[in-house]
Amino acid sequence: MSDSNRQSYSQREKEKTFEQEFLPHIDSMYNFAYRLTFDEDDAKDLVQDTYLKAYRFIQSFEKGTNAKAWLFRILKNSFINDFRKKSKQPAKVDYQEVETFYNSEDVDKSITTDLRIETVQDMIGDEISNALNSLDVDFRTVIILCDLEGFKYDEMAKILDIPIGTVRSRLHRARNLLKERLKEYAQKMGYKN
Amino acid sequence: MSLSSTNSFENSPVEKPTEGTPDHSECLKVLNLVLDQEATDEEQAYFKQHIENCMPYYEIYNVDKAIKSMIKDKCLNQKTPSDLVESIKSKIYQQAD
Repeated sequence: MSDSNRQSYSQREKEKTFEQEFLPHIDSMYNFAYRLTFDEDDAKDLVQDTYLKAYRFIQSFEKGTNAKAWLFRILKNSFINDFRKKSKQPAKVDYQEVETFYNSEDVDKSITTDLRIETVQDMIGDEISNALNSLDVDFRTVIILCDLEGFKYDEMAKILDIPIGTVRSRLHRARNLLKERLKEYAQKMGYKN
Repeated sequence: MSLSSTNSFENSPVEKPTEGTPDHSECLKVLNLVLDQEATDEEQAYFKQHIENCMPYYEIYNVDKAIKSMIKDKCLNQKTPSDLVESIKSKIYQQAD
């Protein structure tokens, strides 16, 4: 961020912004951190690191803008830089493949995963939650940001540092994958589709 | 194109969308926008008109909507540790001193 975007905060303003605009998002932040790391201690560390960074770099936070989006962006970057390296994550998603998928004829085929609404509504929380957790972290993240946290596409683009078109295609792919997983659960449970 | 112009299937009418026939792939692109309240008024109207006449897409839209709302209801249950806020605050005030 350039110096021209820097805000000036008095010590009192700093504390007020932190307490009134940043801390109220702690539950969403912890939930996001836990769904990235799957570990309570790591999630706690990640949220703590995020808040310490947010306080230290508070002059980069533009007053009146979306504090929650700003915090989520810091958390996501901390996760990539500090946590993802430590854990044995599977190979990164090939986004070229994702984009190709979105523009290909396969889209129609895949979207017609014949999951019925009655089946979805009969599912209990664990199945939805497990299906979400089973997705690759980049797909999981867009669903969390969009469906859980209600971020708009332009906010997601800023949080993730990707173009809006990529937000859309990644979300589309993530939802199809999620439906495939839910369908597998439904079949295991013996639902008639 | 000229190389295959002798192919009798090249201009087969079934390969071209007939006028007035709903364009499913276009509808598919708009589906997520409508679901996420990102669609323009025109896109919304286009989509609404399409699903009124298209049972499979009507079903897909409703399944997607149900999944979206279930995710929101069922996946926000991770309990924040009670000492986290205090721990963050104490670290910050330590730094400030």
